[in-house]
Amino acid sequence: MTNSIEARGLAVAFGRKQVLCGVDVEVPEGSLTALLGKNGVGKSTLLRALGGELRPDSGSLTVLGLDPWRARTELAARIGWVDERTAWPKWMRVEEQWRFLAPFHPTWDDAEARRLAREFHVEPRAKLAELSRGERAVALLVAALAHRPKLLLLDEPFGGLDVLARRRVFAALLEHLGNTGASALFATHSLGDVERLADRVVLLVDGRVRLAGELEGLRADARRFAVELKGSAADWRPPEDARIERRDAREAIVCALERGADVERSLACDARVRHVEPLGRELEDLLAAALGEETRR
Amino acid sequence: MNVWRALWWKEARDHRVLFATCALLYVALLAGAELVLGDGFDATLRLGAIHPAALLVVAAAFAAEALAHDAASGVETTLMRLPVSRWKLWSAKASFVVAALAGFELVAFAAELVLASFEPAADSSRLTPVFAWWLAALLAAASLLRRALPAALVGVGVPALLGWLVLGAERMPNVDLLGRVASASGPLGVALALTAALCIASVAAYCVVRFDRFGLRRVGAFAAGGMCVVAPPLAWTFASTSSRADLVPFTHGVSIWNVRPSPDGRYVALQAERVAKLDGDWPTLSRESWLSTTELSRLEVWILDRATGECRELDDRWRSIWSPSRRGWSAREWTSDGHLLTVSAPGTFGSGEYRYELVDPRTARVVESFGDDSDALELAADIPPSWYRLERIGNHSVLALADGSHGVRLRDDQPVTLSPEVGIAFYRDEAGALLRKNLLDGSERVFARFDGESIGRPRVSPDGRWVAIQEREKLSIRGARDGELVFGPEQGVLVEWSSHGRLATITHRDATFALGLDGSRVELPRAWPIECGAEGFVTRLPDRVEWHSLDGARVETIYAVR
Repeated sequence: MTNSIEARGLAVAFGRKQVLCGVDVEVPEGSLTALLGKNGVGKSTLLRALGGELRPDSGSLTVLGLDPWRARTELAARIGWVDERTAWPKWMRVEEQWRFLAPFHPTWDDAEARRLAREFHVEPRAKLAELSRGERAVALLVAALAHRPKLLLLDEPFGGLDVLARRRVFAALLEHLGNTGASALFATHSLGDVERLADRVVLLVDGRVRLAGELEGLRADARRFAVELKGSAADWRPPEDARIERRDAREAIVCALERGADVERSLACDARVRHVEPLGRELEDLLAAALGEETRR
Repeated sequence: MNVWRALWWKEARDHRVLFATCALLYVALLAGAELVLGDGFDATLRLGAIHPAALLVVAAAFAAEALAHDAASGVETTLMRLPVSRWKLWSAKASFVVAALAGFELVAFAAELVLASFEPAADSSRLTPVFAWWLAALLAAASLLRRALPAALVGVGVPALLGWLVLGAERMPNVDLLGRVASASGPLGVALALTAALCIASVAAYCVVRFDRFGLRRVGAFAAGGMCVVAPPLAWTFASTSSRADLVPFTHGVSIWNVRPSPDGRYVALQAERVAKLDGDWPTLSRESWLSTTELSRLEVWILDRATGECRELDDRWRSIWSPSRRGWSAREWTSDGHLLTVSAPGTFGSGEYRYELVDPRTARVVESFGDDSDALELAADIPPSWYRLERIGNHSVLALADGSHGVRLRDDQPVTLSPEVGIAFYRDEAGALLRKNLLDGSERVFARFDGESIGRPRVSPDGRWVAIQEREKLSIRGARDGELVFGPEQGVLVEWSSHGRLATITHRDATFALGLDGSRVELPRAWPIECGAEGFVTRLPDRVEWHSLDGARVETIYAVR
């Protein structure tokens, strides 16, 4: 399977601030990859670099077989980019936005735009500036899908959507990817969206990739345990590949995103551990644990 | 809709309110001023002050809005993500600004036509060429800018270009742009350097992305773009006025007369009667403006060196104040060898006396000065062919050669002229006949009879071969011995002979021609236009002589206006 996105050792800095430090990312063709990370970790920066808006300081980057920086114009015709922070003129209506965008995209399908608008309950005569946050996100998604892109870059695309709208959008997105074989990379904070939509995940922590892989593999490998200790938990250290999610006086919650079975065996052999109890393997809890800091009670 | 149309459509929608506001405000301003000021609100004020100022404001507003508004609102980021090259984005913006200004000019033109329709025709006659020039320049710029120019330079190039257009348009009635460029490299250099610096500053202001959050980039783009518009004309004006101009703008606002070629044809002395510039423009002379411009208006004497093309004004002290009595320096005669020019100026105001100076044409500086007419004549030994004396005895005048050897007694009101080189004088007797008097042998004969018709002062060529006679309806140039040679047009024609007699310059209204006799072709470097009236008659020139305009082109007909 070929990759829609291939990044190796990608580094981007703004002045003295290093935002991305040697990021490796692969997005296989036809996949829907979630990009996770806390605020300011570099998700949007990575998307901008992928769209050719930023020139990486180092590393190699290929998107749909092109160098984004050198072939920005060509690449932009094949990308659907949804970013709720992008601005449009205040006077512009939804259908005027379609009319404006159509000449730029030879593959623009006006009928598809109208179909999606009907499906998402987007009013073509409405002004973009007067839409609610959720409506606006859906309108931007319609515009991004109507030219049948080969790759979707979605930056916080589903914020503000109610439950019903979210379902409709997810269904349409999956249908689009299924029909066209396109790929998508979406940055989000919603772990629920990741579980419902993504088949792959990339986890960014401090400008580096902490975890990247298929969700099914993550489900199979990851474990969470409640550990009861014989003495104080304050100076206890978990096995390799595990991290403490929460620490009490004599108890700790331990999370292992990879090789969970090995971690379970190590805990069982630890002399300071009185009892180990496996917790549920909900993906949302696992990702939350991976993103979160250790807390003490 | 293609990409260009889409980008233009977006810009038009972005700025249509601004355009409508500017146009309405401009029209309202003109209408209000017309109501308040009435007759005082004329085309000079509108075109000279209000329109340029309004255009500057509109140009700066449009340029800044097109450049900076999208950046400030975040729309620029959206546009940059479209599959279109950046130079195309900027070119669309730049060309839209140019087109918007052209549209504003159309509105201004329409408003001006309406207002001018209430004024005398002379005032509105300037409008069409002014605005046509503007529109042509703007459209040409638009067609140029739509091709491949680097994106940033396109963005700032528009206001810079507009600055130069302002410069050209403001000077349009007086413009000799190529001549200015050729001769005023100093001011041009200053203006170009300043424009370039502002272009760079604009690019820099626009490229400082990190200042976006404070809105400084927008302010910078606005200020720099506006300065690009304002600076070149200011720089040009400042540089032009701070250094002596070597170019002679003998065009609108200046009358040229008394054109006197030197005998060897190398120099041409000419006299410029100049109305003072007020607020950077030539005012229309009227009874009311006469006094207000007295102190600045002047008569100048210039000497054009045909060999080098250099035109020198006589030393500054020759620059006379132009008074209602039209006193001022005037070029008189060349010496026969062409080495010296005599100029005259009135003495003490009201005294009737004149002073004479001899000027070296190579330096345009005085070499001798004489207190009055009599003293000047004493110098006749050095320049014998060109001098005569006219003495008054009672009610009569005595005309004589400088050495006093021959003379002729004339009535006081008789026009007279003479050719001292060969000792021939023409004058009219009491019966109105034109007499030819040989001063050397005293012989006299009737040259022509006019039977009561009035004629102007006959002007004899220095070699005595030709005489120009201005009659009521025509100008005749006749062979002094052989009778009539040329019939020219009607009155109002001024003839000046060269000292060698082979060249006459003929000034008729605003047109000046050089007439070469004996088949000699005369070429002078400048051309003054023939003023063509709508009604009049055309005089076909005879084939026996060649008429040339001062640019050397052959003149076939003379248009005369009744």
